Order: sequence, then C-alpha cells, then structure tokens
Amino acid sequence: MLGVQSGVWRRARSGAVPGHDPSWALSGRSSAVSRRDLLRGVLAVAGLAGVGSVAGCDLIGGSSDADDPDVPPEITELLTATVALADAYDGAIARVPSLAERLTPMRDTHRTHAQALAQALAEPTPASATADGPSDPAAALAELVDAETRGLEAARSACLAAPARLAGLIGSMAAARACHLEVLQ
Amino acid sequence: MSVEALRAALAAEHAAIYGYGVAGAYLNGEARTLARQAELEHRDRRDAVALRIEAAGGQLVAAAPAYTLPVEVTDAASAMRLAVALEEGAAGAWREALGATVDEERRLALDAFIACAVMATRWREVANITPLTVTYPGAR
Repeated sequence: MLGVQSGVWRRARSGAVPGHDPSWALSGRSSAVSRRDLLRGVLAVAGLAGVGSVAGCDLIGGSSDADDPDVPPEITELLTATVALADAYDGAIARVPSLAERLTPMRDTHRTHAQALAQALAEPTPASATADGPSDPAAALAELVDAETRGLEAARSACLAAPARLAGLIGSMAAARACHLEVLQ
Repeated sequence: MSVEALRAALAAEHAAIYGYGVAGAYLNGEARTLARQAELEHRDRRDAVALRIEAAGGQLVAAAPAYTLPVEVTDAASAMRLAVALEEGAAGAWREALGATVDEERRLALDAFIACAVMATRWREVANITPLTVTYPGAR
C-alpha cells in the first residue's frame, strides 16, 4: 500500500530556465509597462478562467471534440487555458528573472499537463502567446495566484464533468494547481 | 467498480493514520502540530469514505495492526519524509478512485486527492524538500 517512494524524492532543479527565450517573450515590446500592457495582462489572466474558449477553438482548428461526445466543451477550454497559464508563468519569469528558479518547475508542470491533455483529446497543443503583466515581483506573484485560483476552479469542475478516462489526468491538474497556490502564497 | 476504488482509498487512509502515529513521535513544534492536523484530516476522510462504502452496500476494510512503512523513521527529518510519502500514497489512491467514480463519490475523491497533495506540499515546505511541488501528485 505504501510503496510510493519512487518519484517522491526529486532533486532540486537548477536555476536555469530550460527552453525559455526571453527575447521571444519580449519581442516587439518596450520594457516600460504601460496602462495598456496592464490591461492586456488582466485580460490574459481573465482568459485563464475559460473565457478564452472562442480563441481556443480557433487555435485547435474547430470543434473536433464534437466527434467525441463524452468530452464536454469545458475540457477543451481547459486545454487552452492551461497553455495560457504556462504562458503567464513565462511572462512573469521574463519580467522578473529573480523568480525564475521558484516559478520554472510550476511553468513546466503546466506545459506537461497541456501536452498530456492534448494527447488524451487527440488535439494539437494550442500555440503559446506572450502574456503581459506587472514587473514588480509581488504584483507578478499576485497575478499568478489569481491565475492559479481560476485555473484550480476550472480544472476542478472539468474533472467532475470528465469521462472516466480523463478524470485522473484532469484531477491531477487540479491537485497540482492547489499545490502551486500553497507555495505561491 | 466504484466501491472497490473507495475501499482502496479507505485502506490508504488507514495506512496514513498508522504512519502518522509513527512519525508524530519524532516531531516537535510546528511539525508536530502539522502532523496532528494531517492525522485528523485522514481520520475524517476515513470516516467519510467508510460511510460512503456502507451506503453503497460495500464491505469495509479493517485497519491492519501494522504497516510496512516506505521510510525508516529514525529522526525528525525521516519522519517528515515519511509524512510526504504518506500523503503521496493516499493521494495516489484517491487519484485512482477518480476514474472509477461519478457525481458525489468523484467529488469526495477529488477533494481528498487535492487535500492530500497539498498536505504533501506543506510537508515539503516544512522539511525544505525541493522541488516543493510535483507535476503529478500521487503518481506511483
């Protein structure tokens, strides 16, 4: 029953940010944070709650989940929102490099979840986008807390609506988000 | 199917409660308080899932007199590593119950899964075990 040691003890990740290219995240942008930047950041975070579903359908090329009637639309929306959540971390890491070591494992978790969910749905992983937001560390963390809170609720309700084959994965996404909130606050 | 998954979760809760009995003896201060809180949460979940199993006409799983623990406990540090393993073990049982349950039983399993995963993270914070979070809580 308690043969659970494997995978529990893991070594700390290095401070490097694998696969992250700050020039990509900041492309075409000045380093100053305008009011418009902040508004777009807020909208990007709002999108994590699932209101970005229209864009999500475009990104994944339409309603292929309609062929799979046991997958409710909120699960497809969860996939899009999970990519947006990882993008929010990428944005925060680019703007506040001192948070990189702390945030990178959580960013990687969201990317891994997005890939796993896309694979389970036989959908392509939605494309990433640049997420704007505050450059102040406390404000950047507060924005991620807000995004994770919405993300937890979305994953929780998607898990309760999920077909059996997806319930474990989506439940794991919810549990991981709750753990992120524990360490972000 | 769902009763079997709930019985497995009940067995995991019994094991966690036993494990905290061992770990708690090596802990003091904040860690001891956290162990007491965690053990109470497992007792509450044990009772809740037992009621659910009985309501479904299933047979309860009795607690064993002793369990083989995944961590040999000799001091506070190993006691906290055991606590992480206990939470991850219980989280795994609840995670497996998700696909075997629907409606209220799945809600019970999901809330329990999340609570165990978060408690594992709290133990990592207290014991300074990094990374503090894992991609798949309760993965075996």
